[in-house]
Amino acid sequence: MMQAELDHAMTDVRRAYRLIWSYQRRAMHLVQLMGDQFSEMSFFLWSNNRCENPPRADVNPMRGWAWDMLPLYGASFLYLPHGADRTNPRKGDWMLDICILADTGFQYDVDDNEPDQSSFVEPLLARSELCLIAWQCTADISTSWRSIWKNNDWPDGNEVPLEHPDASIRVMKKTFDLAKIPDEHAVKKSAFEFKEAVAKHFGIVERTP
Amino acid sequence: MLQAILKGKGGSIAEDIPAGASLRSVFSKSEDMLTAAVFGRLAYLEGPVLWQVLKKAFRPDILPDRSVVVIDKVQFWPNWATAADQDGERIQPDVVLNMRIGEPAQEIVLIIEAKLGSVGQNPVQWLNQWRAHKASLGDTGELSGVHFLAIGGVQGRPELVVASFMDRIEETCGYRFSAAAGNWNDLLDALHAINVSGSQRRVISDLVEILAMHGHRRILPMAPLGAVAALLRTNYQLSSNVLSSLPLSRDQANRKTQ
Repeated sequence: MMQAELDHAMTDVRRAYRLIWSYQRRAMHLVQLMGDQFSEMSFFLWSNNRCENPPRADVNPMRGWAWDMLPLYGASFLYLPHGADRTNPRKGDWMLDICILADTGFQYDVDDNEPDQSSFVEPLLARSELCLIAWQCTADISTSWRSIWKNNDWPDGNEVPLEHPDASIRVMKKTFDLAKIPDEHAVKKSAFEFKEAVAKHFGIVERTP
Repeated sequence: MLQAILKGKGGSIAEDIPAGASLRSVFSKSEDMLTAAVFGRLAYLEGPVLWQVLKKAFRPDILPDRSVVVIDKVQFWPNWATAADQDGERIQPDVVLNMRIGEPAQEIVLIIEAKLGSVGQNPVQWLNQWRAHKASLGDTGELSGVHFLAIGGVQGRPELVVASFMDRIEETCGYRFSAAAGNWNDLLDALHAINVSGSQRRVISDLVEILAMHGHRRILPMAPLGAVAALLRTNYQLSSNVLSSLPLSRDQANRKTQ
């Protein structure tokens, strides 16, 4: 390989990181603003929703995937009503999952190896998405919300509730194209549409602040 | 918040807040609680920092440039008991800041009137508070160094609103006084423009969150990302191929330890 090619590649790496920062700065603001639309709820926890979270400082990150060090490539930000029981939710309690997916083209490797981006679909054929997801208990549960989120799947469809009878949980997702959420007005409109869907399917009423 | 409770302010809970609503809901609809929370926190800033925040937030720029600033007293809803407006209502500004600036020190009084939501500022109220302050000083009172600051409810460009109000006040009583105005978003912008560290940074962060609870949050929207990307655009695929061709142990690449 020519040195010039590697030099050029490293220039592109610098460009890419700066673009990623610009995107992530805005994505975090978007999540924050979206959270503000649910005035009765507080931030609970966040997680990488495709891979592991970045490890603690005393854990060797080289033993994990490089994807683990890109947590906002696909992340969920979970919110609970103020004062909610985090460890033993009751029937009817619900949790909001604000999910940002920078690239729907991500694909797990069939042999469980670390996914290689060169095998993903062409970026033009993938999307960047914001998903608003409601998790609701259908009975009293003796499991934490963290476990519920970690061990149960999202529905595939848009606004099609999915029941997990073994877990006494039901889930509903509304998906938006991130490229169609350019500003504050669009964020608020998305929140409003999601609240309508949650009211319709789960009977949960969230006021607009 | 503490000031609001101590002074018996905060009023009763608004009727449109349902039973069982969170304290956050109550807080977000209360002008008095917002005022107390913001100015109570601002009082914890070092004098020069607070002065810079106020200079950046209010227009026109009536506060002189000074690097030496001392906060002597912060009063919330001072009881100017001798003053009443035409309807006999007690006149009470929201906040009064007593400060000293510069060397030699000059005494400064900032009278602050806050509004929340769609309630607009009112020139009659400004004049009543100015007159009440003047009355509270008695015959020996000196009004130089006294400035009126209006925050929130400024419906239009602050400089133009202030000029219009002063015109109306002058028509009423024959004089004008030093005044400036700004909205809560202007205060937010001022807080973001201040460079401090340590405990002062934590005070600024608290103030940003207090304003956010009332719907004032600075965000970078997604829309301009297109222009950013255009500047950084390149054929990343070629570079990706170059990096992928670097020698790499497949065993290392495929190992993932839980």
